[in-house]
Amino acid sequence: MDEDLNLIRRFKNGDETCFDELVKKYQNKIYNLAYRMVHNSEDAWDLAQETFVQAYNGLSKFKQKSTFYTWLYRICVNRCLNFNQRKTRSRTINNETISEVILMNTPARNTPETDFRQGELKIAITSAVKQLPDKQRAVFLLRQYEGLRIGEIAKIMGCSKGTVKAHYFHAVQKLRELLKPWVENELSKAKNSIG
Amino acid sequence: MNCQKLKTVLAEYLLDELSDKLKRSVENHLLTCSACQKELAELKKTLALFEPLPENKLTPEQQTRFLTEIHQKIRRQVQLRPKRYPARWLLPRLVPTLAIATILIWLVTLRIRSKEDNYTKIATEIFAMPTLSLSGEFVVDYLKANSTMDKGDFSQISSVLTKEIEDYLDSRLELPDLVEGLTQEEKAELVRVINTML
Repeated sequence: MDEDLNLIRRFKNGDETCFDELVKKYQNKIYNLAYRMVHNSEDAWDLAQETFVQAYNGLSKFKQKSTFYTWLYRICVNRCLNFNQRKTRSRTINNETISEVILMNTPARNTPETDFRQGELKIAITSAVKQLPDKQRAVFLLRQYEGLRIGEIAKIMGCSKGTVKAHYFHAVQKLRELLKPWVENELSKAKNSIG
Repeated sequence: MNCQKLKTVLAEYLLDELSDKLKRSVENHLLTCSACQKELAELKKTLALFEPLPENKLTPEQQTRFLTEIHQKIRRQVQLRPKRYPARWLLPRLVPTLAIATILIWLVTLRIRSKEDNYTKIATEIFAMPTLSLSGEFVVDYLKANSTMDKGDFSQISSVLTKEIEDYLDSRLELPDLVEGLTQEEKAELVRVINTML
């Protein structure tokens, strides 16, 4: 975090290369977040870039009330939420097929059976996450993949901690329903291994 | 702690954001309640399904392209940004105001001038057309018959003449299209112009 603040300070003093350093540091995280929010690599690419362009424009006025990455995530989440809202309104959702989504994820070097099973699970997970309402999905992704704490997520989402907890809990409940066969399978495996 | 209370703190328990005291309380309840154990186990397993998913990492080439494109977007944005002048709040307001004022003045002048020109044209046309020369003939005949009249009688001629032209305009039978649609006020103006010409 100190490293980010140092880069921002130098950027404010006219060293533009510091912005590149910040992009390099966070581009994977921001791209992944956008990708998981919109389920389309091209849109995620654009949204991640727009996030950094907006950050570039606002960086000179960045007050350090929150950490840089919280601020950056906030920009990205808001852009993705707006994007999804526009898409829903225009009813031209053109998500990548699930097989493309799987292709984007690094393939694990396993046996064919394990690969097949992993593939099926990824399809189920992608499909289930897609079905979550936008805000629940954002909260869930920020917690599950970014490992952020409730307070940080609340800052990013611009809402209270209570709202974040409610979104998270509803998201997990809904995912449990959507992934029921997988959950039951895992539970029975666990029982067998104990037995 | 009972089942109802546990449900209200389950999210925090899953998020590992409960105080130690509450956490112990939840765990004590779980030891004795199989329904809550099942509920929690299912939720934990659901979350466990997500753990193996790897992050999509951009390749080094993609990372370079990503940054280059951001630079391009920032440059494009700077180029598109309008130049700022010292009196930047005044100019954007002053220019359209002046333009609108000029157009309004021009339109008003044009309307006044075109109205006058129009009346003159109509009057000229009326007296130029043989079928419409009744007024002219009338005036000539009248003047011939009253050649001895003095200045005081001129107003009488004018009023007779005015009435004759008004009747003529009202009949509209042989008037050109351009007279049609004139209001009473405009007709009166036309009559005034014709009188001037006579």
